[in-house]
Formats: sequence, C-alpha cells, structure tokens
Amino acid sequence: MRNHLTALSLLLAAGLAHAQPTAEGLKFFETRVRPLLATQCQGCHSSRGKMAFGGLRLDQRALFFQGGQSGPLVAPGKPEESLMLKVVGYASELKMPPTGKLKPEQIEALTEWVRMGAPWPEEAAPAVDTGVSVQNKAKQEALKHWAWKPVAMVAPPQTRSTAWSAAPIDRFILAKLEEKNLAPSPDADKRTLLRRAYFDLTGLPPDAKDVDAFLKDSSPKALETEVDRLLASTAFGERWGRHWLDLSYFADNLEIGRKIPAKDAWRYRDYVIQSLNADKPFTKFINEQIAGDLLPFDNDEQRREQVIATGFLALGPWALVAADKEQLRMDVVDMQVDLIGKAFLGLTVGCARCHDHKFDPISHKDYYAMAGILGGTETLHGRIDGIFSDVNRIQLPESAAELRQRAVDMEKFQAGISALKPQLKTLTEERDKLKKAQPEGEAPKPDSPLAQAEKALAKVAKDLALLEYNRPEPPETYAVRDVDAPVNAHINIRGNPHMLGEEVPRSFLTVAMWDKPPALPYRASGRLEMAAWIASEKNPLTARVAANRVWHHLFGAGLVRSVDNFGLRGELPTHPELLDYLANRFVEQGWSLKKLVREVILSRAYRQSSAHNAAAYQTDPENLLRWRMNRRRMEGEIIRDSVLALTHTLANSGGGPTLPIDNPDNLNLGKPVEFRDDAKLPEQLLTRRTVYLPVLRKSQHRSVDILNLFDFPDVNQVNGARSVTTVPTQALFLMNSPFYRDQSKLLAARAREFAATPEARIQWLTEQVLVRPARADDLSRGQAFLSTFAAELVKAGRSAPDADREAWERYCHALLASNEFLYIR
Amino acid sequence: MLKPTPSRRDFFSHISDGVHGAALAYLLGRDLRAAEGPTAIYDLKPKPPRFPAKAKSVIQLFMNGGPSQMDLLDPKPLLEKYAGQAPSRDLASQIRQVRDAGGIMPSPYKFAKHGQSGIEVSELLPHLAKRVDDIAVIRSMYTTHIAHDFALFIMHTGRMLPGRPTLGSWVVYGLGSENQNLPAYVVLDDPKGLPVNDIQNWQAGYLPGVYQGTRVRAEGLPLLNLQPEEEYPDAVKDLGRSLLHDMDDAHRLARPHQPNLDARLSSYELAARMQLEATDALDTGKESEATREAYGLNDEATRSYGKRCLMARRLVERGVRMVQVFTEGNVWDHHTDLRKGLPYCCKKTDQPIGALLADLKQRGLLDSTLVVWGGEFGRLPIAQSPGPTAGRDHNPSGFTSWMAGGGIKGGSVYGATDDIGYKAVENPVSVHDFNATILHLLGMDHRRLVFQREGRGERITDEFPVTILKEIIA
Repeated sequence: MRNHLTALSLLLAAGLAHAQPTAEGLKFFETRVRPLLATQCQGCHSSRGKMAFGGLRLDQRALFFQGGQSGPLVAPGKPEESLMLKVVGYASELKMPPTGKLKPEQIEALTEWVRMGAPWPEEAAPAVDTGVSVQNKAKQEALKHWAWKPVAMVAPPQTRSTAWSAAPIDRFILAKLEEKNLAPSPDADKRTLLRRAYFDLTGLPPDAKDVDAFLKDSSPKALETEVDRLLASTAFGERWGRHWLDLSYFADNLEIGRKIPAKDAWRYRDYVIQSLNADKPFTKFINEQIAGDLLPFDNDEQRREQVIATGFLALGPWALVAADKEQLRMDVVDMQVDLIGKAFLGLTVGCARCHDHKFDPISHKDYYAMAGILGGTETLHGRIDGIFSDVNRIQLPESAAELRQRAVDMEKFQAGISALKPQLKTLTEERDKLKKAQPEGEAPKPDSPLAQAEKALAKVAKDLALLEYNRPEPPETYAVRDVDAPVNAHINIRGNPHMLGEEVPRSFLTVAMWDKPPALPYRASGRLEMAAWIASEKNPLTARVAANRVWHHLFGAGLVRSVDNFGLRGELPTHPELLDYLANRFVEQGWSLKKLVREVILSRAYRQSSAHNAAAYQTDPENLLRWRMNRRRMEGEIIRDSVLALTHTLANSGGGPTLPIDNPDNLNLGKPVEFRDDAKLPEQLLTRRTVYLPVLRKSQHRSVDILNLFDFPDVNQVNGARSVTTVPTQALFLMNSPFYRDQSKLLAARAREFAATPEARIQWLTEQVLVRPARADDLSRGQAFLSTFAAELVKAGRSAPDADREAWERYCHALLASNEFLYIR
Repeated sequence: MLKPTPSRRDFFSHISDGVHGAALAYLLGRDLRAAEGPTAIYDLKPKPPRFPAKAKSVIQLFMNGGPSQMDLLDPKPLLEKYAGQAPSRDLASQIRQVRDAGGIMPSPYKFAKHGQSGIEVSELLPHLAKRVDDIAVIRSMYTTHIAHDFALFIMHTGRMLPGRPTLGSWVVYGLGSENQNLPAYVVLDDPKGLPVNDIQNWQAGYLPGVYQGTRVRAEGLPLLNLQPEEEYPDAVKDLGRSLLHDMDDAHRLARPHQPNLDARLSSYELAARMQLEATDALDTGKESEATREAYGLNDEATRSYGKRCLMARRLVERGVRMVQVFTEGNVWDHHTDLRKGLPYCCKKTDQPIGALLADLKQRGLLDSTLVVWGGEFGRLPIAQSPGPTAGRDHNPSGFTSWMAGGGIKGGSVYGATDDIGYKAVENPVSVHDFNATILHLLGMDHRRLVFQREGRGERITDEFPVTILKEIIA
C-alpha cells in the first residue's frame, strides 16, 4: 500500500513538473532520449518484452515515472537528485547498463533531459496500473503448469488386455502402450530379474546360493519374498542412502577449495543410511534434516539423531576463506535455498536470487522470503584460523560408552603430551644454544648439528600438534541452529548483499502454497514451519518429486526425466496420472520409502525384459512409454563393491569415522590443517563399501579413482540424475588398473577352489559374475582362450602351472570388464 | 573360433570390423543421461571455427599463485622514489587486509629494453627477453577476487564458484580436436603438487564430461592406467583384449540398438590407440639432444618444467587443441622472501618458455599455436613482512599476462597500470575480455558459443561486457 501511495504521489509530482513540455523539449526527448531508452535499457526493463527486471518498465510514460524496486528514477529538473543519472554515471552501487557504461554524450543527453524537466508526451494510461504485459500473461500461463496443481486422486485406467497387469502401476503403463498399439515386453528370466533386484535394492550381486534358492522357489510370491528380504538388509540403506547423498552437499572436507577435514561429517552420512534402513517416514526425514535442532525430543538418542540430521544444511561447498563475510553468509543461504528447492521440491529456486525467475513463477520476493528463514539460521560460527570461518557444531549428548572411551583416550592423550612437552623444551634449548654459536647471516649446513637439531625439533613439534589436533573431545556434529534474533531479509538488488532493497517477510514459495502461509514465530527462524510446509501432503511437489526419484532409480529414467526440475523448463511427465497415483500411494502408506519401492519393484512393468523389439523401437525409440526395461550401466561404486563382493573381499563394516587423520603423514598441519592428496587409507577402510570411503569436494581420493572415472557427481551440486559417459579412460581403468588386476587374481583363486575342470570353472565363474549358466559359446571361447594363452606363455618361458594360473587370471579379468557384467540388464 | 595370436594391428582392424570403427567413435561422447534412446551427441570431432582464424591450438602456461608484475614485465621506476614510504591514503584504504604491511617496495631487479620493440623485461627473464618481439604484453589485467580459490575459478571459468566449465572445456566444446587418438584437452600438472582447487582447474562443469581436461603426468605413466603395471609377454598381450572383445561382441549382437554397448566397445579401441599414440606423443626421449638441451632438460632446475613444455609442443604438433601447463602448488605466491621465491620460479620456467617459443617458431607452429602466460592475479607494490625477507601480498586490481603466436601482434604492449603498478588504469582488461579474445583468436565468437542448460543459454562470458583486444591482434 505504501508503495502504491508513493507511486501515485510521484506520478502527480512528475505530472506537475512536466505539465507543459515545450516542443523543443519533446523533440529532444524523441530524438535523443527515447531511442537511447529503447536500445540501451528496454531489453531488460520493458512492459512488452519478456523482462521487467527490478520491476522497472521504461517503455511507457507512467511506468517510467513510477520507477522500480529502487524507487523513482528521476526528479524532473533536478539531475543531482535523479537516481537514473547516478546509476548510468556508475556513481552508485547499482550500475547500468550492466554491459558497459554509456558514452559520455549519451549520459549528457539524459542529464540535459532531466534538467529540462523530463519532457515526455502524454500517453494513454497503461491498461492496468502495474503494467499489464506479455510478461504478466506469461505469468498467468505459468501458473497453470501441471506441477503446481494439487496431486489428483486417480484411479488406474481400464485396459484392453487384462492378462498382463499385476499391480495398478501396470494398468497406467499398459493403457499408454495400448494407445500406441504397443505391447509390454515379456518378463525377464528369473536370474536376470533377481540380479536386477539385487543391484537396484542393495547395489550388490546375488550369491550363487541366493540364485539357487530363488530358482527353486516356484511360488508366485518368490520375488516378493526375496524383495522383502533385500529391503530389510542393511545394504538397502547403503545403496539408497547414496542416492540421497547425491542430493546433498555431503563431503568429508569443509571448504570448497581446501581439504579442511570435516571430522564429524560421517555422522550425517550414517544418519542417512540408518534412516533409510529404519524406513523412517519421509516427512520425518524432511523435518529432521531441515529443522532437527528445533524438534522436541524424548531422549538423548532422539536428540542426537535430529541434530545430526541438520548436517544436510550445515555441510556444503562453503567458501570459508572469503574475506567478505556478509557475502559468504548470503552465499551459504543461497546454496541452501537451492538445495532445499531442488532436493525436495524439484525447483530451481536459486535462479531467483538476482531477479524474478525467468521461467517459473518464483519471484525475487519469494526467494528472499525463503532466504530470510535460512538467514535466521546459523550455519557458520567462529573461525578455524584467521580469515577461515568455521562450520557451526553442536555438542551431542554423550553416551556412557563414549564417555568411558574418552576417559581411556584422554589418559593416552595426557601421557603423550607429558612425554612430548619436555622433549620439546629440551630440543628447543639445544637448538637455541647451537643457533647462538652459528655466525650471523650464515645458513646452517645440511648435516650440521644445528640442522639436525632443527629437524628433531620440527618432528616433535609436529607430533605434538597432531596430538593436539586429535584431542579427545565430547562428541559433536556439524549442525545448524537459529540465530538469537531472526529478522526478515531484504531483497539483494541484482544479488548483491551490499545493495539492499525492500524488506520481505519470511515465508515460503507462493507457487506451492495451498493456503495462506502460516504466521511465523517472531523469535525463531521459521525453519520448523518451512519443514512442515514441505512435508505436508498438501504440498503439490514433495510427494511427486520423491516418487519420481524412486521411479528414476528403478527404471533409469524418471516419469519426469528432469528429476531436479519440475518447473516450466523441466520435462513433462510421460505418465502424469501414474506419477500422481504413486505420490498418493506414498502418502497413504505413511510416506514409507520402502513400501513405495516395493510396490514399484513388484510391478510387471519392472519385471520386463530389456530385450530389443523392432516395432516398439520404431514407435518409441527413447522408451518413454516403458515397453521394456532400460539397461543401465552400474555406477562406479557399484562396480567396485560388486567386484569386492565377488572376490569375498568386501567387509561387512557399517559406518563410523572416515578420515584417517591420526596418521601424521595424512595431514598438512598448516593453518588451516588440511587433508593431504596422497593420504593413506588404512586397509580396513579400503575393504568397506564405497559409500563409507572419504568423499572430497575436489578430486576423489586416488584409492577410489573409479569414482572419478565413472561419473561420480560433483558433490558441490544437487544431482538427482548422474550422467553416464563412455570415455577411453574408463577402458584403460578396466584393462590396466591395479585394482582390476588384483581382484582378477583373487577371483581366479576362488574359481580354483570351487571347481576343478576348466569347464566347471568357466561354468562357476559365469554363474558368479554374470548370474547365468555358461552357454556353449562361452565354454568354447573360454577354453580356446585358456589353452592358447597358456601355451603361448609356456613358449615365452613360463612354467606350465604359472601359465595356467595366469591364463585364468586373464580370463577373470575379461569377465569383470565385460559389458555384460557392467550393466544392470 | 579363436585366431592364433593376432598382431596388434589385426586386433584393431578386428575391432573395427565388428563395430564400424569410425562411425562408432562418434558415439563415444554421448552423454547418456537416460539409459537409452537418442540424446544430444557431444563429441570431439573437429568442427570448423565460426570465422577463419590463424590459431588452431592453445598452450596456456599457467602461473598459479600470482606472479609479481612490477618485478617481471611492468617496470615501475617510481617505486624507487617512494621506497619505504607508507602508501597513499587511498591505496592504504584499499589494501587494509594485508597482514604485516610495510611501505612501498621497489623491485629488487633491473629492467632493460629488448628486441626491436624495446619492451622492458626484468633481468629474471633473460630467455623471454630474447623472444620479446613475439609476445604481446598485457599490463592492465584485473580480476574481482583476492583469494586464490576464487581468483582461479574466475580466471579459468569467468565465475567465482565451481561447477562452471573452464576455458579449455569451452574451446574443445566449440572446436573438437584434430586428433581422435589423444585427449583433446590435456593438462600437464607439476609432479610437485596440484594448484589450489586441484582438478577443478580443468573441470567441464555443466558441459558433458568429454570436454573435461585430461591430466597427463610428466613422470611415470603419462595417463592413469595407460599401461598395466605388469605387462604380459608380447605373444599374449592382445589375447586378453581379444577375449574381452569377443565376449562383448557376442553380448552386443544379441542386443541391437544399444548405442551405449557399441560406444563402450569402441572406447576400448580408442583406449588401445591412445596407449600407442599417447606413449609416443609424450616421449620426450625422441627429441634431439639439442632440443632437450634448449628446453633445459639437462638441468635439474629447469628439467621438470622444460619437459612439460616440450610435451606441450609435441601434443599441439599432433593436433591436440588445448594444453595447459601448471606450476607446482602455489609457487608464485610470494608473501615472504620474494627475493628467494621469485628467482626460483623464473629459473624454473624462463628457459623452457623461451625454448618453447623459439621451437614453435622454428617449426612453423607458432602461427597456429596461441601461447598464453599469466596467473590468477598480481601482487602489491608495498612490502609484506618488510625486511630482507619481504614479500608482496595478492593484488587483483592490476597484473600482467602475455600472449604470443596464433595471430598475436608480437612486440606490442597493451594497457598500463598506475605509477606504482597497483591498479590497471589504461585499457583495463577483464578476465572476460581476456577469455573472449582467446576464443576470438581461435575463430569463435564468445557470444555465440552457447550451451543450453536448464532452459538457459550459458556462455563463458555470461552477460558481462566484453572488449576484444583488437590492438594486439596482427
């Protein structure tokens, strides 16, 4: 209302000031000013074009004098008071045009025009006072987008054929296929199906025993039994936890450019895995990750879990080194807004930081309404060293066992300190004495007593620093908390935190609002309410986005293929009714992820073979209608875990701390302390599942090179769908890496143990690695290879047993590198 | 079924039969986001530039850490006059973040005019001084961040945060590569340590992974896993690969219209060719003793950098589009002991760079190779930790880069900093101007090199104002 009045009074004032423009003045406007506005300004500030940045429209008289978010543009007759002239003169924080300063004569023309009283010929008033425009029409259209509409209650459609469908899901799929006169593919054979379910649910291959049992179970419930068993295994959380972690900024180091160890980040990773294994309702999962620190709790255990969950917000690619702390604070808020938008809502909210979203009805104001909530949240607290900010930590309730352990550790720690401190003192004195004897300005020789004393001193100092760095402390975790006095955010003009526009009350995105936004508490950030808004069954996006992610992971492509973008520039759902059906089922079944996964995986649609079908391929080459199962290349961690499982090297480990920071060789004890590139990971860590290995914000550790090569996503971004590339460096890895070589040897050794004859061994290996019996061509190809290879090696001087062993190793290597192994079929 | 010990050549032709080699190499770059079906094809096939251009490849000599302009290529005699004085109030207010700041510090090094152009070069760069008529010195670079991490992101990608493609990625996205058996975009990092931001200095960001820089090591195996650790005897070397090929082929034949399977198969072919060609391309032992000597391969101080410069030449000679040569860690970051650190860096790089320019010229490659030198920012005219071991702190307001070859007007100087070398005042050159000029020299228009993402047309220069440095173009 206030804005309205100002605009009105300005219009009046402006009207008065140039009530009687002279002919000369109008000519000046038409020849010197209007063309300038048209060519230099209206690209972004127009009521006719697509954009009116800053709410500014410079193509109509009334709108021009009304001004934009920063206020009125000109004070007619008073150049020195006119905002526009400051802005084009680059004399204010706001500088326009952003693409380069106007020429001096152009600025002079604008100044002269203002001095003349800003003459502008009368125009018919704009149709609507705010400027009805193409933009507004586009906005009206944008509001009709499918994704903002409430999730509809849909019944599965009738289909011509009734034989195929096993579940309501199938009827949605079949109906679309029938529209195009297509039929679904037949079920995959039992082995392929079991292998697929194993990889999809656990990320690990079935053991031969599992396969046998499944083949023997002829009941119609065989798959169901197996799926229930897999859903109940801890491997489920390890597989699906990583899917969720792809959507977070989780990593084991804190800073974006430096490897500052995030000692306690593993707690968040383990929280995610445990939550999925416990089949925590998704709404609870949302509430805990956004506002766990604010939730009530009944006991220490619950408090712990909830606080750790906020690691979702606390861990991120923060530029802790940034000297401009206000900029850093807003950058953190921005990344969090983007994170929440993409991960839960499938919206690119971050695009509205500098201006209204170009495509989606998310306004600049909407953005700062949400930014205000996160701005009232403390993510960074204190300093690590000098200019490096630190991530906020919250101490966790200490369990009795932890307390006992700490007492033991503390004793060791004290003993270490008491041993090292006197050493340090003695060595320092010794060094100082030698130093005094050294002539001024002369460097000590490399093996002189002084140089040696320096070296010994440095070593003890380093040991001491490392000990201090690992001082036993009560458990703590990276977590957020509310600031003491939360306030609303102001619009950052063009995203600049030092250029503040109007204040925006804290709130949520209008586009996904079904009711008036709740009043936010005065003394709190509003995170709790925001979490509830996201976790509401009325939110049109949350359940849809989550259900779509499940479909994506089980079929290789979502019903909405742009899984992180449900906005206008995202893809339309191929099966909108099915998506709504799944979203409803998800909510009905208590937001249980396991139940939803189970329902999808037990459909006939999922059971389809991935075989080719020429007719269907002709009609639908992208398989949008799901006439078959998609073949999917395994992710890097699944290749690694599966190979380790096949050689029985994989440890059944569970989580826990990840970074070996007690090894002095693994750290640079500078300011700040950093984890080294060539850090050594202990053996027991390397046999863990890949999800438990360190994840770094830059290149992944060399022991998991496979992740760098096989499309592990950038942990600094939200990645609902990983890309799948095929590049020669992957081939080099599969052919030549020490990992593949070593594992092939282990696999060959196992084969020797289990089967005696070449035929039996090939059979055993094919069943283990490819989960199918060996065919005649496998046997003949394999045997021909083995004998030729061994014979050539003997010719080259190897003993017969060595040659035989190496031939088998090479055979195993080829199996593990084969496409048939690398794909989920 | 099994051919008796095929030769390596048989092995390749054998593969090509099966998968129509060249046609399938085309598939390699596919970013198969969905599991199957036609998607946009991103490959490294050579693509014509938008307009005719001399430069075909780029060698970027990246001086990570921030070299000191007033001690190398931007002489400021007035620093002598003000030596030890406190900086002006205006300057002081802008550099208040310097820890342990001292007064104005003159350069400890002498400058002299060189070549026909008479460009002044510091005594620390005697070899570059001899090639000064080939280079265009840009003395008015500026950037917008003072910390290494951000300044590196800005210099390489135009933006302050990670996740954006680097210049090299844009170049190979736009032009592909002339040699399909070698990576299109090669990074030669220093075995002594990666720069700040690690491999993010050559990330493809939101561009498909095929455009990412490939790290090639100067010591040991040049490419990760290029050769197995233990090699089988020649007679059986190819048998294993043949077996794998036959397995994959049998699998593929039963599953038509699976481009990813075909692509994976031909990726082995490419990998195998890469094993041969990369090994050859990077073998500096094949150079004459005179060349090795010229690059400084016989001197411990210059050997490492010289080897990488020589590798860079061998790569562009073979049609590699983009080569970046990095220096160790943060080695140009002389906060203290400039008098020790700066000569170390210059000694390490000057002779190899001089040799590279001379060698490219002598082979007729300099016209088609753009050589670019510089860091992420410059250094301040005041001392940090004053005294005999003084250094200089970061300075984003003004610094020096140079370009040579590839259509550059040699012997020219562009822009200027103020009297004391603090701030670019004459023809200031932004990172966007700099990158757009490199693209221009390669025959590309920065405004039209666009990648569609989330409904938005992305460019390396985004919406920033850009001036192409026409004055330094021949």
